Amino acid sequence: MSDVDSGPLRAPKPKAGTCIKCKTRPSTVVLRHVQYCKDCFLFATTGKFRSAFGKSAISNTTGHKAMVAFSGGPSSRALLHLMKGFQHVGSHQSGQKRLFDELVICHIDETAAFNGSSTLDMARVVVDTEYPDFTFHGQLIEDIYEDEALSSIDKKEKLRQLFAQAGSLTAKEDLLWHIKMHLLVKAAQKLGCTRLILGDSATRIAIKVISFTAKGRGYSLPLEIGGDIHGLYPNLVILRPLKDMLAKEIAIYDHSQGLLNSLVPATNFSTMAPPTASIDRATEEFIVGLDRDFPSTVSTIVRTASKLKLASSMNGQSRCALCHMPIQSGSKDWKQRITVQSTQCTRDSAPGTLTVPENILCYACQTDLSESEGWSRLADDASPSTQLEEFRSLGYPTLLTQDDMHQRIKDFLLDD
Amino acid sequence: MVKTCVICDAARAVLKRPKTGQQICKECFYHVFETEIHHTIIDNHLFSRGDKVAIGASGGKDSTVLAHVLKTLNGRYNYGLDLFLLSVDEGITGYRDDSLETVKRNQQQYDLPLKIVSYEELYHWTMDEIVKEVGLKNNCTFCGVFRRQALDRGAAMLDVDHIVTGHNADDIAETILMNILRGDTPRLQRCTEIVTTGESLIRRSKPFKYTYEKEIVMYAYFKKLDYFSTECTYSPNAYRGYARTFLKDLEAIRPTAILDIIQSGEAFQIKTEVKMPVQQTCVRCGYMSSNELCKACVLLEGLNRGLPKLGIGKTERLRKQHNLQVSEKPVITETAW
Ligand SMILES: [Zn+2]
Ligand SMILES: [Zn+2]
Ligand SMILES: [Zn+2]
Repeated sequence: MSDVDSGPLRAPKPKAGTCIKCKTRPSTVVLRHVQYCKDCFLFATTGKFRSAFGKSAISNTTGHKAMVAFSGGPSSRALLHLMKGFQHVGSHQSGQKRLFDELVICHIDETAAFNGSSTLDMARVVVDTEYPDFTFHGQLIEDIYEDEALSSIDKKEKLRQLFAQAGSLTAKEDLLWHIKMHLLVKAAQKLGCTRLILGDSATRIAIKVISFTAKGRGYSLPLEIGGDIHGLYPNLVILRPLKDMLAKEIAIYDHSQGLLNSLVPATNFSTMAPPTASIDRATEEFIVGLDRDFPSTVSTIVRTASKLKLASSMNGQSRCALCHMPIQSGSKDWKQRITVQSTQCTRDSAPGTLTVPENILCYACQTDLSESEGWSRLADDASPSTQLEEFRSLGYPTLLTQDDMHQRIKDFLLDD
Repeated sequence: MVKTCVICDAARAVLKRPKTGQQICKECFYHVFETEIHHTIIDNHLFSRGDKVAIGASGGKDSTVLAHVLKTLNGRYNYGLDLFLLSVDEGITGYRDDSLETVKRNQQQYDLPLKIVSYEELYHWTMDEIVKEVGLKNNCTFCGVFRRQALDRGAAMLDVDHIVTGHNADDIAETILMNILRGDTPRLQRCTEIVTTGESLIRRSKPFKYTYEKEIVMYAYFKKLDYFSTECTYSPNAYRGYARTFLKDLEAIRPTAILDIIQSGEAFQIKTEVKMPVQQTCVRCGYMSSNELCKACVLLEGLNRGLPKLGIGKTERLRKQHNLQVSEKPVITETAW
């Protein structure tokens, strides 16, 4: 290729010295080549957290009930603690009120998908003992099926079957994430929360930028990593206040605040899996390794992604039945033209007139679903409502309502 | 048990298609491979009837297969194109001598006119001499910048409207990843464009944009095409190597990943506050440039003054130190045009 092949410069090894902020205490923490003492590090971290709520902090907090997603991992553990500090500091300031009216901590127990032992009680204990001002909300992943007729055992079995036929580990991991997102959104809406706070760190966001790109999720990427996302779900804003903090920064914070012994152990599909097992695992390995050699990797990726905007073609109507992201029209046709499957396909006209009905799924979810056993049986020319029916019958959850579907079918018929 | 081709359901399957994992026969492979390139050409309106098109030919697999496929499709679908082979002689002993021999054989095999332009003739420097001067660290920068211009100049000599290059889907996907990793948003936006046009008004396009490297190798193998398979003797940049290895890992996990990355890359839209470089012409050689001097002229100036670092990294300071003016006499000779 003819472009200039220059990578970022390697960082020099920092020497031990004094804190750059107070210039008196010895440094104990090195971050982005800058040395801090513990106190100044904590001060900087809480300051960064507060500023992440940004200029819109007041409109984002006051009068709003917020839900914090708490998996119990290092990031969400730090998030919980920082939220407590955020609420606490606010209440001591005179005059204006600048905090959330109420905080609900939502933990999703995913163990039904893996046959693990429940994490619900551990999460509840952390919240009840250390953050008594917050409301705990536990959620079992199998409750994605709201059918009253199904017993708890039935629901677990249904979920296991869904994952068993879902295809590759990449598709399973995506599916798990979509289900968790559905549960968080549903729980937030049911409990009257208008803010959903997620614990994605800069490192996690950088990994998502690359893995989502690799999975064909570029169209919706700005919506999936943004720090302040409006309009994706009705009456619910998604916030990511840790988006400027590195995983290392968060680990140091957890350590310095004594939070490490109250983490909830994670079980998932790729625990112990080799880096070649899924796109998420490979990307994590790649980014973490690259960041070790070139320490600006994560921040550069995050900066690149922050310059992406929503596509001008995006409209609010066509949402993916699985991930709820906007569907880019024409992407199915795009792929068919460059992945010829038969010797009969000889259409010589330019694209524009669709030959196949648009899928009810976005490009990335189509790719995931094409690996599943049930979905591949469904005829390509099925109508969107038939597709949605089949989709539900396979056990996939969806946030799409029948109204959404009518809207979609109407659109499809009107479009030349 | 003998496997039957999943496409024609008749012939014996002899290969597993890298893009889809389908087990198919040789004839069906040729069909899907060529048809996808045909779709790419017509969906993107790459050519008009009567266009004179130069195929950037290096003697390697990509450009050899490109010459073969374009010649085939031009005949089959009656595009009405006038095809040429255009080669650049970088002046790399061993590597380029052998690959140019391959190009000359291709000329006979495909019965296409061939034009060779050399760095020596255009810049009075061969790559061997440049490497002696700059070492192996930045040599690919020189080569990339010079080759791009050399192709344009060769095209101007042939009086063609259009240059096609053998960049494949793997190259594009890798470049998308690279541009995210190094935060180059203007290039991230541009690198997925299938056609680019510069000041030289010569269109450049990539008919293999959606064609997998592995399938190009497979096609050349089954068609017994004559190509030169040794990599350039001056090794590529290490940082790009990380991206390349990662892309191979992704492809192994999910074969569609290469297409999926391109799908993402095409969907990316950059916020307008991000400054896109303004295209202008180089005051020295008239080539399109985002600065007063084009990259090739800056690099050449450095070489000719014994300051090979000029044009790589922080040029301003070096330029001031040595009191260099921008508007000096052109270094490139008349014969270049
Ligand atoms: Zn200090
Ligand atoms: Zn989707
Ligand atoms: Zn066949």
